[in-house]
Amino acid sequence: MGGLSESVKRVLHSVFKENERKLHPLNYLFWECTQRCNLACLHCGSDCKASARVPDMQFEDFFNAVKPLAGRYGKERVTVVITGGEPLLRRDLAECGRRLAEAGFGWGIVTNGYAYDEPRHRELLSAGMGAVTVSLDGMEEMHNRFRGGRERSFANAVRAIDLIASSPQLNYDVVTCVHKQSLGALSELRAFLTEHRVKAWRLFTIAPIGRAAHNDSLQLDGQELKRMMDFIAETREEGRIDLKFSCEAYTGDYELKVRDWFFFCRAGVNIASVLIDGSICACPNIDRSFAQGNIYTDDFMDVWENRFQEMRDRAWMRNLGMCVGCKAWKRCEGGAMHLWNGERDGIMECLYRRMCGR
Amino acid sequence: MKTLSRKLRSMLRAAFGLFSLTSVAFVMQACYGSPQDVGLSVRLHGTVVDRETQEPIKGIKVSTPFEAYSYSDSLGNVSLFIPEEELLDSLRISCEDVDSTDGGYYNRLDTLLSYQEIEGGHVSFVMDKAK
Repeated sequence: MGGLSESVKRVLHSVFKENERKLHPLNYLFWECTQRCNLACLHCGSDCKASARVPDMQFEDFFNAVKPLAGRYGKERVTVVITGGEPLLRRDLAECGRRLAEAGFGWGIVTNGYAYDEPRHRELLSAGMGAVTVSLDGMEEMHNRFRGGRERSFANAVRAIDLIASSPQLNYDVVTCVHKQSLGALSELRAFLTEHRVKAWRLFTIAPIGRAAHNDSLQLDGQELKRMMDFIAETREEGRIDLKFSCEAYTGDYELKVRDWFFFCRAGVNIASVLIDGSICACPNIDRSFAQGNIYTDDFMDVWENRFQEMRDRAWMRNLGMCVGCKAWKRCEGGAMHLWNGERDGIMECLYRRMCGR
Repeated sequence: MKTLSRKLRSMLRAAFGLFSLTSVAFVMQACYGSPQDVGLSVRLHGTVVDRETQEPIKGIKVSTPFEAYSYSDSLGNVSLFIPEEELLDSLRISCEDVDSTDGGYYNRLDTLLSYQEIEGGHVSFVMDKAK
C-alpha cells in the first residue's frame, strides 16, 4: 500500500472501517484478571491498590465464558491480553496462559515489570506467551517518582525489557506516558531504549481517568502535544526504533507521520474485555457504564454478536460536546471510546482540538 | 455498502488483507494493550511414562537447551512452547526426575526430536526407573 497517495489510502481506510464495523470480528480480548498492583503510579488510569476490594477472577470462570471464541474466525488468532492491576501478582499466570495457548488463543500481558525476573520470564515463555508491553515512564528518577516512589521500579522494568528484547518469539513494545515533566527527556529515553535493543516503543498522553483524573498538571498543552508529535515523526524518519503514537486520538496532519495507519478506535469493533467482576465491555479503561453484559449472567458470544451497537455506530457522538460542528468528524468519529464519560454527554478531552489551539 | 451481505463483506476483508501486504490494517493494538501474539512458538506436547509399567509419571521436568520447560501432571501429560526460531532439524529434549520422593527415582532421559515430530503431535517420553 506504500505507493498509494494519501487520499486513496483515506478512501480505502474509510471502506475498511465501515466493513470492520459491520463484520466486527473479535480478535483482541482483554482479561482484567486482578485489580491488585505492586506499585501506586501517579498517573494510573485504573486507580489500582495493593489489595483490591474485588477478589481476582477464577481462571475457569473466564475460560469457560470465552472458550467458544477460539477458532471462531478461522485462521485469525484471537489474542488474549492479560491485564490488571499487575498480572504478575497472580501466581497462576503461566498456567492460565498455557491453558489459553493450548486452546488456540494467542496471549500476552501488560506489565510494570517490577516482578518480572528471569525465572518468571522462562516460565511465561514456556507457557506460550507471545506478546508483552512494559511501561517505562522516563529515566530512573522520573520513572521511580511516577511509579509511586518504589526505588527499584526503574531497575526492575529495565531488567524485564532486557529479557524480553532477547526473546525472538515475543512481539513486544515499551510504552511511555508523556507529561509536562517527561517531554523534554524523550531524546535521552530514546537513546537508552535503542542501546537496550528495544525495537518498538509507543507514546501515550495521560487520560484524565482513574487516579490521573485528579491531576491536571499531567496534561500536555497544544504546543507540547505538537512537540511530542514532531519527536515521534522525527524518530520514525530516523528508523532506529519503531516509535508510534498510541491509538488514543485523531492527530490531524500528523496521522501517517506518527503511526502506521490512520486513527481507528476499535473498541467494540474488534476489541472486547472481561472485567474483574465479569462485566463484558471493550477496552478496560472505558467507563464501566458502557458494559454490555456479564459473563455470570449472559452468553459471551451472544453479547459480542448482538450488542455493542453504541460502539459500532458512533453517529450519536456527533451532536455532543466538542464533536459538535467539528470538521474532522469523518476522520475521527468521536475519538477514543475511553475518553467518553458515563453520562455520554461529550468527550472529556480532544487532543486534536488542543493542537489546533482551540 | 449497507446492503452488502456478510459473505461479500468477508471477501472484501480478505481482499484488504491480501492487498495491504504488511497487513497494517489488521495488526492492531488497543491503546492500553500489548501487541498481538503472532504465534512464533510451537507447542510440544506429550506423555511421560514408565518403561516397564507404561504408567504415567508425575513431576518430571521436560526441558530444552533454551530453558523452555514444563512438569508432567498426574496423567504424565506435559505441554511446553518452543520458539520456532530454535527449531532447526532437531532439538534435544531432557526429562529429569525432580520429584524423586514421589513414585521412585527415574534416570535422566535425553532424546533428539525432529521438527516434524514436535509439530506433528503427541510425543511419548519413556523413562527407566533407577536401579
